[in-house]
Amino acid sequence: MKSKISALMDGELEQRDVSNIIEAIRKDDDLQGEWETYHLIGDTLRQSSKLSMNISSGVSQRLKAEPTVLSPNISNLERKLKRKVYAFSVAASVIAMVSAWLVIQNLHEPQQIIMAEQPNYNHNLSIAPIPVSSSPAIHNYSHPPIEINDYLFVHREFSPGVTMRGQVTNVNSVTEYHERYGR
Amino acid sequence: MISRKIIALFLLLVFGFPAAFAQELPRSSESALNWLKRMADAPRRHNYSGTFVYYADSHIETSRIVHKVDSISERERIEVLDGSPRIVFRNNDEMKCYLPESKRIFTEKRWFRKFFPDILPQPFDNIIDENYYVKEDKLERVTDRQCQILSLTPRDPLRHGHQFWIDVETGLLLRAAVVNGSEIIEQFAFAQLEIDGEIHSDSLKPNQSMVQEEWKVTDLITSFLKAGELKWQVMSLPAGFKKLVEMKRNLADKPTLVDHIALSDGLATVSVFIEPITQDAPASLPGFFTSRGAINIYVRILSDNKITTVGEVPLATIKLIGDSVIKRD
Repeated sequence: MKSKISALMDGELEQRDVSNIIEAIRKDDDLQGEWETYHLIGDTLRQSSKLSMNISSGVSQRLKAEPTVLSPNISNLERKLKRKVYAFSVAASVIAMVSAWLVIQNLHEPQQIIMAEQPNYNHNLSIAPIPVSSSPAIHNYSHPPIEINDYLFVHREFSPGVTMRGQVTNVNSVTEYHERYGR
Repeated sequence: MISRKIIALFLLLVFGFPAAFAQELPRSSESALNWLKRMADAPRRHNYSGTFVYYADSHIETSRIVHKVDSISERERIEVLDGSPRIVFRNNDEMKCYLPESKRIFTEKRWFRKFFPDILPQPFDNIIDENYYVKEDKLERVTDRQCQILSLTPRDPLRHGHQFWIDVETGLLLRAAVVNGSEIIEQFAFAQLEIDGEIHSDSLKPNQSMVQEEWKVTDLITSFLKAGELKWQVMSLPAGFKKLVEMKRNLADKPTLVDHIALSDGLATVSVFIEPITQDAPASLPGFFTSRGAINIYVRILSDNKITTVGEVPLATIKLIGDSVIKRD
């Protein structure tokens, strides 16, 4: 039997025996072992770099023994970090360019910032101007100052289009107005 | 080599952006400014009578106007026809406003010349060209008259844009719109108009009933002040704005006078009112408000005074002006 397996390997077996031998090897574990051993021997004799070893059982054994690691893939994380750093640097350079542009813009168009009139005024004022910070309290209250209609009446010099003294006010707080007109 | 290319690209981006986005508007053309001059002069050259509408925030108000000019004076009567009646008589810069429902008369001096259709400053100077780019647009028909459209684009974000429809024949303003980009904020337009027709001087006088009955008269102005007399000042005016006048106002039912500073950029006007906080006039919360059309309002408190800034300019400009009000030593 062993000689027939050897002949099969070398391609010297009679054609009519081949299928019988292959069938026999498939059914018999010992013959499978022989088949593998012959291949290993052949590989060794030919000094092949790839030895025909059946490592599947060994690999599955080792996989079973391997503890399941539930941590993220380190190499992947590194790649993401690298990508993030790259994105940040792109964003930073865009910001740098835009701010440089803004600075130059301001240099080019000083009239947007520079005040037209700077009267001499004493810096040692007893009452300094109160800086109304960036949020001058946009309260969501619906009572505009009572005197506002008088002011509008005077400001518009009786011009049509302004509600008159004593009429229902058409003044809205800005938040309310936004809700109503969406602008 | 590569780094040199990158630097070149960077420099191109940095210096190329402003060139592309600065949109430096050119000086207005001579012919466009001539249209403005004609428009400013027209009310001094022509009589007219008609009806015009004010439209803003889906609110319409109709007014009837009669305007007569001769060698010595310019007289006008404007009657608001919708809602509460109101009739304004003007003789040169003296104005009287009649409120028939409350039987009151308010007298006032005209400062801004902002009554449609006479809205340009007199004398007409180049302040408008400094703040707006004036350009001739297409021709359009308004109340059966051919009009030249002028568009005034603001040169900075401190003010709104304007559009004027000017009668080609007389130079009279027949339609005016305040715009924010392509959006119309408010507009005045003649619905019917007769130019250089016969005007009876009776139509420029109060009715008999107004003269016979007892009406309560209030003078809104008590005193004009010389520059520096007011104890308040707008420390730094935004670019393009000039101070028109400082005065003390008598606002009808108030025991104290209200300080009033008026500013203008040639078209838009801003008023600053300063009123002490008293028991009768309690403090209101500071904040931003908006009224019909282009009007924005900003209230703030400074050393027991309410500072209210009102004007037909963007809210940011109102805040800029309101915040720069200081008390003199």
